[in-house]
Amino acid sequence: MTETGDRIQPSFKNLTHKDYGRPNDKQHMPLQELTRPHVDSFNYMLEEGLGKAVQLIYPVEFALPNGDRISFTVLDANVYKPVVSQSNKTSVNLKVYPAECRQRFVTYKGNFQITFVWKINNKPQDTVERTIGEIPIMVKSKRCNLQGLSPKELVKHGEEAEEMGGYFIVNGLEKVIRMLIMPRRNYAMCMIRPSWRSRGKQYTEYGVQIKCVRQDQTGMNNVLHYLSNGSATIGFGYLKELFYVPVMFILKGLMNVTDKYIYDQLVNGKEDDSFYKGCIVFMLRQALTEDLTTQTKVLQYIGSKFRIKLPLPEWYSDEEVGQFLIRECICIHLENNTDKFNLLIFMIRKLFAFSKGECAAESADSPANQELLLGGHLYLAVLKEKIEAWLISLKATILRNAKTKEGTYKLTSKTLEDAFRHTADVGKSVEYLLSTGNLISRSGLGLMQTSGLAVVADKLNFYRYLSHFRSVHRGAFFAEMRTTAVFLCPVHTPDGAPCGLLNHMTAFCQAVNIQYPTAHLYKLLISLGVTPFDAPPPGNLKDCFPVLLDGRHMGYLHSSIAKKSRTEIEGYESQRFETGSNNDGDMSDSQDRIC
Amino acid sequence: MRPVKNLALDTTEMIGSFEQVYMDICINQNEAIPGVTTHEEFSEIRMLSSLACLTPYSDCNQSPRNMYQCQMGKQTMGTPCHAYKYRADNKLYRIQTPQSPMVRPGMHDHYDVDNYPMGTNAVVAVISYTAYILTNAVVAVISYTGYDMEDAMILNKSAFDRGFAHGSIYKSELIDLRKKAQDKYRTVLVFGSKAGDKRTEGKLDPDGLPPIGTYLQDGDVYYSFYNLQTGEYRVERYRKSEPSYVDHIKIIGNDTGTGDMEKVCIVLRIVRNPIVGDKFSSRHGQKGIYIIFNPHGYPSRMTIGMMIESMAGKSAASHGHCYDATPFKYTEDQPPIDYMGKMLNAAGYNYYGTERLYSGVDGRELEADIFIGIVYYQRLRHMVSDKFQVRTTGPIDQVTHQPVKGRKRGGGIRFGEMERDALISHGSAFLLQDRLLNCSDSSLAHVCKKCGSILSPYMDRPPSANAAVSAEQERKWSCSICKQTNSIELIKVPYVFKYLVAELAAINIKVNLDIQAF
Repeated sequence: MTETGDRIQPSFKNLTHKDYGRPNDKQHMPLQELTRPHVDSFNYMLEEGLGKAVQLIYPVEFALPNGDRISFTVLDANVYKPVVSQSNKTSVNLKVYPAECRQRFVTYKGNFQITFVWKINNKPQDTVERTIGEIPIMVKSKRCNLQGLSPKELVKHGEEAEEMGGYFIVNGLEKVIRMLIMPRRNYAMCMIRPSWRSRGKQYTEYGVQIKCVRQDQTGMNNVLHYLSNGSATIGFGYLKELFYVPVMFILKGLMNVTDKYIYDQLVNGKEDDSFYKGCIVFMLRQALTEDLTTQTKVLQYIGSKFRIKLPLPEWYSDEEVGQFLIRECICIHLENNTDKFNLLIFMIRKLFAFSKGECAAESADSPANQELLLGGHLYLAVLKEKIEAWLISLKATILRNAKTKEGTYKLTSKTLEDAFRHTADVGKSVEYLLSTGNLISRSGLGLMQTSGLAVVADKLNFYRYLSHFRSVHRGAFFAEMRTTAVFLCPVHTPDGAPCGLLNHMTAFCQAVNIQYPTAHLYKLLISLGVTPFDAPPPGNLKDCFPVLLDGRHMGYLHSSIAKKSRTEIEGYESQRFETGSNNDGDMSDSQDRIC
Repeated sequence: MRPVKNLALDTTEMIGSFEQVYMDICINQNEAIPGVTTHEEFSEIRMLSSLACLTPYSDCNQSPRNMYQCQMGKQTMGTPCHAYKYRADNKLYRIQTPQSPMVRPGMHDHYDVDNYPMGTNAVVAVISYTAYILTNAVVAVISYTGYDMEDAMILNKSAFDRGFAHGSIYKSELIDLRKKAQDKYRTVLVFGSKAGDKRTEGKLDPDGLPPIGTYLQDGDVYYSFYNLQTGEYRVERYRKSEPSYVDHIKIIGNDTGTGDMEKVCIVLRIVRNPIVGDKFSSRHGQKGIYIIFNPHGYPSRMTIGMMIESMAGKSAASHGHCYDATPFKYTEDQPPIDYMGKMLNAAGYNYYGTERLYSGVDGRELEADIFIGIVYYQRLRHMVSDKFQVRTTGPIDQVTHQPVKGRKRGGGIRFGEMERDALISHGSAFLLQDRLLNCSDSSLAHVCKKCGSILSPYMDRPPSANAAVSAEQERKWSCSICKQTNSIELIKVPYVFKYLVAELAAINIKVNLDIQAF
């Protein structure tokens, strides 16, 4: 990024420059920067995201009428550059360029191939590579045929010399996936929402919400609700349905610990608060009335209740179903049950402190509590879901075929090949998303809106075209307050209905696209005096600050050394200039909100 | 994340929105508090978007005006791309004689907007917030006759003749014969015209398409195609009220590289030079319809930036300088007006940017000094040609016999309840009747005075075929209820009323009319 753009002295140099109007050797960087959030996020999807997403796809398992247990596990997914149709025997060049797609009113798309292994009775049979559709490719991304071309070559291929990319071509139209504002990931926020009261008997408007985002950018909301009888339930959504479970059940299902341990974790530092202690004891007793004494019993209980709602085969035990639920629905950004447990402990403490007025509500409207959902990340989440949907359609086809043949049907590479013919086309649904902006999704992807996700990048003039790539939509969720704070421009918003909802990024603002590794920060923080959970606490928690790193509750820091540690962190922070790391391990934050 | 300057280390540091809340960042050195401030902004304009920082002197304008400019900048007819030939957008605007602004912020060069210019430097005289746009630039702001409309401007004829704000629209029209034939799998129709066909001779090429450069008007031969099954040639005509030129034609194949002369994309060029009613705007949210610009537009809108631009533009043109219009460059102690005034003086102009002008009506010198200077003007895409709507008689609705709505269908503009109230309050009954009855669905109806029904009167059966011709005229209306003919009267009612009575009859409600002569 050129840092001095705003200090350029304008001049008439173009009037006298003898090469003005001829393509330069290199593209003009500031213009390329404008679409970078789009192009980079798509590249992220191609290079990292898809690999991570595929690993997190849960295998599809089912039984055939003859008793064989089949499973499909996706190993890899790849996107290829756009090429001409296989049946085309006349073309000289196999590559398809965007200019052709625009002029022919077709979609600029490349093959999408997945590799999966299929197993019978847990015995691997074969690895299959299969193109499951053609998906739209972002112009100038790493799978675009224009990538890395010089201005001269771009002009040769019917493009602008300064072509910036960042959009898709769907039926000849240039489509941009809008950037959306989302609640900040992996950060537990105290909120007051009157609508929460209608969620059930005794529900209050108080809650602690956390939007958990996995490595592959798929998100899920968990809400810890405060109930007027002094207990708390955790709410989560699965396939667009909302479920509420008493949080104590989940805590006990996460770790095999005694009630005393849970009690100590929750009550430490609040020994004087008899009401709070009463609430904790009440919740623990509630679990006991269902005879949930051990972790296994809890998991069995949860599993038996949720089995009907989860797409798991019937041979899974209740305990396994319970574990699946905890893995897929509770604090999904953490892989480890101990981490999930510790985070829930933190959230419960925060919730009770909040309900008593010991800490303030946080505003969902403040940019500090928001983040951007980039086009590539949304695309990735959609693609991941479509792979799952494809596997499910494959399963459905096989079961349908098996039904007609009754007991004699066996899954072989031939019958599998037959089944492929009747599976869903992944490309169609992605194209639909881009051409209409409407999302059809099984899970809802943790988004707050399902329409208006893609818009035409209308080439009316250069300004209008540019601003499509810089626009940020806030959605209906943040409609109450319209603040900006230097990341979004206070001037550039339309008047009328979308005023303040449709914003534009400031000229020099960039979007964080990669998740930087933060493992080393854990060690660093410990060296600065943070006491981790597995060590004895640094004293009564009354005098300690909780420390969180990327939505993981690390441990506590004693207030006596907090100030010193903070200064030291700032020292380190100033050294990380230009690394662009977005440090979520925020200590200064916890000082304001003592729980 | 965004870059700020780390003061301790004098380096660039990227900060996120989460940490910003807990950081001490100053805007410039003057605001730094020693020991507290750790970071500094690179410049004041860092809070602006890429578009907002292209507004010159935006710090001198009232805030909403800057927001309007962000809106209007996006509606300007400009240069969206250079590869017009390789594009097939529905509608592409193109400005024919763009200029590079003489007064511009640094970000203009940063983004190299010169490659995609959008407006023209116009001389503007403030007369009556009516911008008198003279040559390829000069706006005078004067309150002239007192009849001047606010937000209007006058274009100098010679400026127009030299090409001021001339533009055109490229429209791509896809003609898919396979879709027309409604046969997905076979080629039925192909483009082509018969040699010696009177309809197409000299108008279309043998391929059935119009030659490049053809001027098309409503009703002209557009293209022709041939049916492979019936051997029949068909000719389609151009059905648009606005004439255009054929700019170029693309013959489009299919995915497999086969299928020829089945699908074409005809790109038409429509000339859109400024005419009365087109919209223009400066870069300060000061829009106007091309007639006149009046000084009353300044006090309420407070677009000081535009006045500075006007002076800076004049000075820029005189000295040949390019002016830096980056916001926040000038301060209270060093006002831009003072600097510009001195520059104007040096060029031999009045310090305040005013000049003596002569009335264009009778050639007398105007008593007042007129503020006049050069302002960069954008032509907005809203043009009368796309918007005007006029109708005398025309298509009517099948059911109600009232005029249809919609500009495309030649419909009218609704004269609604509020408009009706206005006419009632003015007591203009005749006009009201004209609008709501005579120009709408006036019709004659037979009504039976005795029973008051308009549904019961009927006409005698037609006379037998061999009866005298005069018998046809002697057919009488009679009431089917009262069985008499002398009670039938002819009255003028809106057609919908008849319809309403019929609909009410369907739900067993009878409407009785009390008819009296007066």
